[in-house]
Order: sequence, then C-alpha cells, then structure tokens
Amino acid sequence: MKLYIKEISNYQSDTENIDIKKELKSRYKLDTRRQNKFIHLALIGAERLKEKVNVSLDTELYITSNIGNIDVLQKAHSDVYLKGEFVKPYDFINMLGNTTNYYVSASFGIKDKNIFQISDSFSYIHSLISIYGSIYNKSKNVILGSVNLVSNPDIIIKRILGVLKDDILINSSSYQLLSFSNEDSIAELKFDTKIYSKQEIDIIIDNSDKQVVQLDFSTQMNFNSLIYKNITENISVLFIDSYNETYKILELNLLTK
Amino acid sequence: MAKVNILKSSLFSAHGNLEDTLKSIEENKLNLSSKSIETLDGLVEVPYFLFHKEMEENQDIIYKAIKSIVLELIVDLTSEQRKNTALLIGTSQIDLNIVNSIVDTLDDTIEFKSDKKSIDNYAKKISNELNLSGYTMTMSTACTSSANALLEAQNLISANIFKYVLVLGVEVHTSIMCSGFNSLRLLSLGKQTPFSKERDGLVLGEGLAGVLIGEEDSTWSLEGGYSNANSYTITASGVDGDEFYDVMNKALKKLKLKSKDITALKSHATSSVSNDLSEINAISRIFDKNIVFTALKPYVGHTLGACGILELVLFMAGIDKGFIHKTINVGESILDDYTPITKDYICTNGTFMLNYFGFAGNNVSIIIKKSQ
Repeated sequence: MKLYIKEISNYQSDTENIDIKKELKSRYKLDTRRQNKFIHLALIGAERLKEKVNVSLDTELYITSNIGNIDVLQKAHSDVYLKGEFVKPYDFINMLGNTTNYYVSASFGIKDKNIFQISDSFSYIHSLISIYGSIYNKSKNVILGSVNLVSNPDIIIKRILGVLKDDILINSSSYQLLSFSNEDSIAELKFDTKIYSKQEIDIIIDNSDKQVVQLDFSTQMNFNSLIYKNITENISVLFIDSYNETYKILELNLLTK
Repeated sequence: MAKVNILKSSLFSAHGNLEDTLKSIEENKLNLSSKSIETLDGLVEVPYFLFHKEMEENQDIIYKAIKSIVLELIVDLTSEQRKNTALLIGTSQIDLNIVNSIVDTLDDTIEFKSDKKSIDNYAKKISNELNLSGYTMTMSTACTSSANALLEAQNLISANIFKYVLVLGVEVHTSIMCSGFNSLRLLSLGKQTPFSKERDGLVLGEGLAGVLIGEEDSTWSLEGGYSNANSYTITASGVDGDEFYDVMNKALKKLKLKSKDITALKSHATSSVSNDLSEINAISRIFDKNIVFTALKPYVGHTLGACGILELVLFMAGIDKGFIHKTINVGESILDDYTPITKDYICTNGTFMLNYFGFAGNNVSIIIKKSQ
C-alpha cells in the first residue's frame, strides 16, 4: 500500500517554547474558552497545516493518540473518587475523544467523516492502513493528526504507556494531508499489514539502502513528528516499529514537489 | 464497493447473552438495576441496565468478556482465515480504563510497573493469543464509536486489506461516565420514553456486542452508510434536525437509494429532550408518515459506544425471528403522525436504516439488507 503526503505540519515541546493558548488566540484568532490543554495542543498543529494548504469541506479527518487526554481524566478521577463530587460538565465533554475532533474539524471547516482513534502500538502504521481503506473507497483526501499530551506529573502517563520512569516524553501535535495521488506530493509512504519476526527484520535492515530508524517508546508516541523531521531534513527512511517482539515496517520516500 | 456481509453476531447485555436478552424482551422481564451518584442535591439513585456481575474497573473480567465474544465469532474460521482477520473496537471509554493506573500513582508503595490497561491493549493481546492478523484499532467517537468502527471495517474489506473484520462494541459502567451524563442533566430517573412528550432523558446500559463481517455468502449484508461531523453545538443538534437529515440523506444517496426503498428504520432515540426532537424532525423530512420505525434503547439502555453494534445485533435477531421489536414506553408523540411502532411488526427481509448520533456532531447512518 502507498499513500502520498501532500503537506505536513508539526509542533513539539522539546524544540519550541511557546504558550500554545496565547498563540491560538493572538495568531489564529481562535476562541479557546471551554477547551483544555489537549484540545489546544490538537489545534496548534491543525492551524499550522491550514497555513500551508486549502482544505476542502469533504476532506476526512482522523485524529490518533497513543493515550488520549489524561489531564482531564485525572481531574475527573479526583472529583469523583477522591472528593466524592460530580464531574464538571465541560470536563466530561472534553474527556470524550471526538470533542477534540469537533474543534479541529471546525478549524479546518471539515464537515465529513471525523474519527478519533487509539491504537496502543503500531498506532501510526495502523492509522495509515485505515486511511488507505477509506481513500480506496471514497477517493477523498484525508488529514491524519497525531496528538500526544504529557500529563503533569508525567509518572501517570509513563505507567499507562508502559515506558521507563526516566524516559523523556514530549508534547506533540502533527498533521499530514494524505492522498492516493503523487501529484504535488512531498513524500511517499509505503506500508503493509505484514508482521515481521526479529529474524526477518534483521535481513531487511541488512539489505536496506535507506537510513534505518528503529522506534523506541518515545519515538513511537511521536511518529508523525519524526516523519516531519525527516521530511524537513530531506531524508528517506525505513522505519521499524515494534510491539512484544513483533515488527512492522514503514518506508518514507522523499519526492521532489 | 465490494459486497460485505454480516456473517456472525453476538451480544451480551444486562439480560445476558442474545438468547437471554431476546427472552427477557419477549417476556417483558427487563433486568433494570440502579446506581447511586453524587449530584448537587446529594446522592441520587439512577436506573441503569447493569451486567449481573460488576465489571467496573475489574480489568480481568472486561478482558475475558471481550475475548469470549471474539471466540464465539471466530469459531468457524480456519487458522488461515484468522490470520486475515482484523479486530476493531468501538467504545466511548478508552481513557477510563486508565483509572487504575492513576490510582496506582497515588500510592507510593505500589511499585512502578509497565502494565498497560486499555481496551486496545486487550484487543492486541486477544489478536495475538488467537492468531488473528495483529491489526487492531479502537474508535472513540462517543455514541457512534462502534457504528463508525463498522464502516471502517467495511472499508478494510472492500479495499482488499483483510478478508474478515471483527467489529466489537464495548461499554461497561464507570462512575466518571455516569457522573458526566448526570452533570449534563441527561439521565432519566424513571424510564426511557422515546419520542414522547414526557421524555426526560436516557437510561445508561452496559453492553458488549460483536459481528464478524466478510465477503462470504450470508442472508445479511452491510450495504454501507455515511459518517460525518456536523454539529449545531458541541452537545446538541439543531431543532430542525438538519445534521441528522444530512447524514441520513447522504447514506441514501451514496447507495443510490430512495427513502421508499427503506423497509424500516432503527432510530437512535436516546429519549433526551433535544436529541429526540431533532431526530423526529429529521425522520419526517426524509420519510413519509408510513415509515416503520422503532427504538431499542428502552430494552437495554443506552450502551453508548457499544450501541452501534449491540442495537444492530438485536435488530437483526428480531428480524431473524420474523419481526421488528416494538418500541416500549411510548407516550404521546412529539410529532403528529410519527410514532414508533407499538406492536411487533412482522418482517422477514428488506432494507433497513440504522441511525446513531453522538456528541460533538458525530453522526452515522448505516444501511443493511436481509435477503429472502
């Protein structure tokens, strides 16, 4: 299977030190009331993609996250279980995954399909497979967003993700406009449904003429941002993602626009 | 688009498995329990369709329940076919399974461990244990979660990515979700009365349900449908039902159908004040007053992310027995000439529309067909 990246945007907290809420209000003139940090993070990446492309009304939107919105859940948990109170209406609304999609689709002006999905592992590759199926059947372009917010304190998200205590996690929000057509595209993504064994992967690595990047927990969480980085640096890469000693591969091939 | 059929189905509701559920409905012996929740006025007891065995935060039971539904659905598949089977789950509660991890972090004495607990992680584990394809995805679009998962599954088969897809809807009680619905004043303290003037909210329900879809012959086919994001406000649609009309209309257009081609309609019908009004107005704009329509939530509760599949399975099971289940607790309709059926409607085949409308304007209309 192949998909083409028409355009890409990115925000990540380790390379930029900005007040996202302030940026959304001042630069993009957005009303940020009744939203939380996760939604703000989702919107910054979306607004940056909007600056680069015209998004048509019937574009489909998929937003994926390795874990979703932990901050609001922590608060709701504290309200219900520790304080014996009830969940505040906007905490409840903002807890639901597609609330984020609501604000992002409104930002893009999209009125078509709008899916929030989570895959604990192979999140990016599995999303591409879903999107391939959707474009195959509807011939529409798709925007794929990936949003990951590190809760404060980060020990909770580390337990949930199953990463080590000392791993460094970052906030990220990255979007790609994907298509079946390579016209005016900046990169090609090649992937399949096959699961590889360690032995098979070793052979693939040995025979690869591209730079090989094996993902760890931290880079798995920010795979979209890693794609952005390699596109910006003009590097074609063979990515290897893993889960419980099973492996999947994704080829990123740079194109000249 | 390639023909995709519904090959097998299963459900588990507050009344038990599919057979038990149908029996409870037939005998009008519905297992309605209740839960205490904190409100501004103190503790209130809300009606709730709960499983016999408490599942909340009991991760082992949730995992085993999902696995048992999957096992039931794949029983006839060969090992080669299983390897070509994806697993999609629709649930509104992805994040809520994280509560245990939050609790762990509050206790310094609990050792740090990498013990992921989430619906998708269970799906991965089950897929590996049962030698499925390893492809899993969990959709979370509130009340349309498993309905969206079904349409995504159809895409995967039509694009020749997988031969079979298991689509599950999963929803168990959590105090946070219950409290959230209450804080929006959407819960009824009595019973669900769909499309009735006296309606005062929904009754939540726990549910697990699944279907296996593929290209092999079956009497039931998944014709297709439409999913779109179109909302008046984040929690409600417009009174005229523009958003619901839009998705139903697009589903019909996509499949080149006219409203007269629809034999009957399964409505979303949450019994909430605004949703039911929008929905009945949308129905009246698409269909004439002869449309046969029903609501299934009064039997099993609003199973949120699971309702897409659970109500599909229940609806199909009724027709397999020769009728469409009547709607119970119907009072005076909010729209003249549009009342859901109050007697079981004899029906053995036809083309059916099933509607699901979620928070944040996520709406899905699915069309299925049963051949003679």
